[in-house]
Amino acid sequence: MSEDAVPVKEGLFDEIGGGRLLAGRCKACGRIFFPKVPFCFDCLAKDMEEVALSRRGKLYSYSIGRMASTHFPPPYAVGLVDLPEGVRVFAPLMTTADLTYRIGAEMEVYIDELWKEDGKRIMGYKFKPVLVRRLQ
Amino acid sequence: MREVAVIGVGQSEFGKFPWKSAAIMGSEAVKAALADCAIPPRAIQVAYCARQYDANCTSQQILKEVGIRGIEMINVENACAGGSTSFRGVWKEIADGRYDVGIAMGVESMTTSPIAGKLISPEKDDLEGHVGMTMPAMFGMVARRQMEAGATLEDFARVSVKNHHNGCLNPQAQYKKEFTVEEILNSRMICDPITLLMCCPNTDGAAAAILCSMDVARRYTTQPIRVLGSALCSADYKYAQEDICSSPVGVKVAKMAYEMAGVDPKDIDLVEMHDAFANEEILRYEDLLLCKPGEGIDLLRSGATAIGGRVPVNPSGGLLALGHPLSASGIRTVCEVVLHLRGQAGARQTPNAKVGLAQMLGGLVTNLEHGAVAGIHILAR
Repeated sequence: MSEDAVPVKEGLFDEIGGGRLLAGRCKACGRIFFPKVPFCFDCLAKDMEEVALSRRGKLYSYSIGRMASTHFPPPYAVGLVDLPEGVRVFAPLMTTADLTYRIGAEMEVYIDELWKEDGKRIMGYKFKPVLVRRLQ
Repeated sequence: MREVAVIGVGQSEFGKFPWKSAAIMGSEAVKAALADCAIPPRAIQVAYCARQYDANCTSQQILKEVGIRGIEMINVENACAGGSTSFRGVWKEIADGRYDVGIAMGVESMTTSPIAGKLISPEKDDLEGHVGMTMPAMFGMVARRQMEAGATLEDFARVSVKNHHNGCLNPQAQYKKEFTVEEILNSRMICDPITLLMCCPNTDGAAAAILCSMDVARRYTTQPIRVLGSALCSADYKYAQEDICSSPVGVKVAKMAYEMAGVDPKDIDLVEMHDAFANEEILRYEDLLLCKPGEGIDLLRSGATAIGGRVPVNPSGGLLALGHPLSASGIRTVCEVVLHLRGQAGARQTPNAKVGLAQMLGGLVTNLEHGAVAGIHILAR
């Protein structure tokens, strides 16, 4: 990341291969948490390890915001993406030209500026549709 | 455990009153509840009050306006289920035999709250809230899933049409205006596909209920309304909610309440519930076991939940038309059920209502199910 860019929160993601979400896996029961948690919220075991989540998942649902949220002017898209590790991630979606999204569509994570604050670019993760083949 | 009755209910005017303090609105509701059962203020032995925003000794602030002081007063917050929490608190005090008479209150000044005119978002340091999670966004995503399962935008709009129609029959409703399906669908888009008229409004107001042990109740009324069931529980972690259209905690609390009350869901004559968003009401039909899973849309389309139907839902107008001062709604829903059980609900009366249910669900917390707390009370005459 460039000097004027700061992550929205430390330890959420890295930029390897276009960006990866960093989760915590319980060494005892295997449950995966994103964002990371200090111990397993399921079985209460203390030993957790960091794992990078798959970059691609399926869009579980989405909504287009037409009224400003805390940081986003309208229109903006948000959604829930199911990753193969069994984690459902809430994230902003890339604002596509026609704002058309489809439940079940394959999505890919990327790192982007979320908003600007005190001259800094606040960086975070978003998902965009994977366009396997451009139609027409 | 002793049997507990509701003997008095009261509601302040609901609307947008930024000049009215919580103490003033709360005392309007308390005065109405006291007058409802002609009980002197100093007969009250314990008080609970729910409030979410700018809370600071709210019970004390309200009750000093009606001459009540020097008793145990407990102030609570539990998002939209704050009022249910307050009501349950007083119920427990009396059921356990600690006190004989108590008052449950809920109040909110939404127009002076930090979220006035904004989308309700989670706490300040909540990551998801910062990256665009709001209540309407969540219910927009829920709506998209409902539509995958066969619901239509018109279904959502019909809930709003129904509850606005009911609001026209309730003198205390914030909005008394009929809307058509087209007007609901063509109102301003908030979080696609949720339009403005599918969202509950910003509302200032308060509600109060006076509870007492059944033996004391006979001194004040010939129509004590029995509290058959009281249940309140917090949600599990988010991974427990595989389907965002179902509320595991909502179902759990419903089963707890039915079991305690010893009634079957088909025995319920009317329901007052959390319809903060039009599409949400359809989900709650299923959570409350009013129909089988997946049949909420059919129940709506059958007309069963309209006034005159098998089980009217939100005959008051609900949060959509009556209004939603967050912490007041959990008490206000109880007040409405009580009026129907007494046969005092006027033009919106459920004929011969014997058993009613008041539900609230609320709270959006990262890493927990959406609907972080659910509260249900089942009442009977």
